[in-house]
Amino acid sequence: MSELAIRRGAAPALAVEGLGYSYPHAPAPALEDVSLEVAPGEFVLLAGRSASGKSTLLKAACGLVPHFHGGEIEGEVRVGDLDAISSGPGELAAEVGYLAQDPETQVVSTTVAAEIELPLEMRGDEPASRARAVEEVALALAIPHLLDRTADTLSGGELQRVALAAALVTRPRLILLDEPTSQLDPVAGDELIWLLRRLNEEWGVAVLLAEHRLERCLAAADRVVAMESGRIAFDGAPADFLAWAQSSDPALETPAARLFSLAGIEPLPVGVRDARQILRRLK
Amino acid sequence: MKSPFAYQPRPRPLQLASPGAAVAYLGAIVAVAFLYSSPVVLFAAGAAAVLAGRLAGADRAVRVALRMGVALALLIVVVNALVVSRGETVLARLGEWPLLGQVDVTFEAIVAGLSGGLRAAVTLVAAAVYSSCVDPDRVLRVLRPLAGRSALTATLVSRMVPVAAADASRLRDASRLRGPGAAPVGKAPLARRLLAGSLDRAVDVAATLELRGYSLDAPRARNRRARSRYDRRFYAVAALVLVAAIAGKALGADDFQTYPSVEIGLGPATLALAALVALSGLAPLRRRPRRSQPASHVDGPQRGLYRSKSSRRQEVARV
Repeated sequence: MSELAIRRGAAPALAVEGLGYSYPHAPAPALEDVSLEVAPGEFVLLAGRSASGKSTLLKAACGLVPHFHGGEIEGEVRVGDLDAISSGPGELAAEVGYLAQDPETQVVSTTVAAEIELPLEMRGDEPASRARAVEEVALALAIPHLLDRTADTLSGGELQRVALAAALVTRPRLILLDEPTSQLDPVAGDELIWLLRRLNEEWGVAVLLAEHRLERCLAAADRVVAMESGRIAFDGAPADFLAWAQSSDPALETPAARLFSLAGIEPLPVGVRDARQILRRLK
Repeated sequence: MKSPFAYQPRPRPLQLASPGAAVAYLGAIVAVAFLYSSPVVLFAAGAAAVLAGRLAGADRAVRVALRMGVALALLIVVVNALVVSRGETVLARLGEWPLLGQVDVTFEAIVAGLSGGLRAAVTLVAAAVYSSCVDPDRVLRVLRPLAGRSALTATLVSRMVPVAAADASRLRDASRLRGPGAAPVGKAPLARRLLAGSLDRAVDVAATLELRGYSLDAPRARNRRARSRYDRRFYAVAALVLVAAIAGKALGADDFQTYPSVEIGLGPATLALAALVALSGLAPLRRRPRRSQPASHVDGPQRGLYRSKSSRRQEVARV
């Protein structure tokens, strides 16, 4: 039995059952009958076109929907032992971290150290344990050199790492990421994805990563969940997802997979390394 | 480019002191400026504010504030000279002016304007030193248990100003990149776009605050940080300056009259108070660390928790 399968036996990091949600005054629901489980320590890629419901699902998992945005919600969302529909985002912060697209709006303090420390301070942790937690997360994300800097001196990639550190400092069971690489250059984007994979393996934190450009993160994922018009359209392994995307939603295909399918090469590659290996075998 | 008044963390006493101590100290200097009209005392208060800023490493903020202060003071002098025609020493008769009537520029009106201008300049410099030396995050966290909504609003505003500035710069660049053939984008559409974008982003910032637990009940006692060892110094200097200023006022140290003729008192009380106020600018002076002293004790206990790598390591090791 694989390690992931053993982890699947434990209580899920996120359990969504029959979730439906409509934003206030919206003509159509953003989510319809969504059911999903994320096992502890699992790395799940949430794929889908724009407006397919990815962001709304993430917001429901961290409590911003419905507590912050309002609207009508039905179904059940549990994060660890907490009911995300009745608990607010502040209470859920201990169990779930959230990282959105725009790094500029996710850093609210003047200095990096103060930003990372903020969630611990808000929940009333002692200064000594706050210092330890900040140190640990800064080391894990390779940003100890940024701690004394002010937020306005950081690049987009650095800001994104600081925001990720602030989301992880409470040691949540689950981290939700809404297109975190969309405003980063390709190198910074790749670094962030592999940093997430490393944290996922070393800390055992479950990752639910929403993306619509999948080429850089498909290889890091254990599982892919694809959404269409607020519903789950696919849930399976990355290699199976490529076959599904080819037939059902070609817009979600990765460039390498599209190239291979045009050339008639099988199987379709999940990542660059995979593509190299397939081509080597063909030679 | 970064604003000269933006907070810069530095290992100096004024930055390491708690917000209350820094506010008390700078507030005492401003209070003197508002209590007194004597140019001697006002000059002393200005010198104290400049000295405090320079010792705290806020040279750029002080320089820019001084430039603004001098411009503002000159404006006040000119307006006062044109509006007030009282005083015995007429320097120029400018005849009848619309709205103002007969305008006589008097030496007394110029000196009275100078006094008001000096007061404004002192306030500006002290505000600049506060802005660049006192960590706004710490101020807001102190305020949070007392006035949660106001602190939240202030946090949003303090975060949205640099974000809006960056957006404005991007929008300007984008409109320039449309090329010379494109129709020029007016200021009003740019402002509308900026406002709409800022509102969207304010919602994102508010969501981030929510996720950080800002809406949780503020834990008071456990949240209190250790005081800085510099706090006592700044509180003591603030108290001394305020007591001396009030006593001096009672003893006639503010001996200054502008109309009908200028009389500036230079009695011992005025000179002593001016000297004391000017010397109060030395409060942020940093003592050189003794070699035998461990590095972590040099800057006093925890401004924040992360003054240096060594102090961080010590904190973690102690845990």
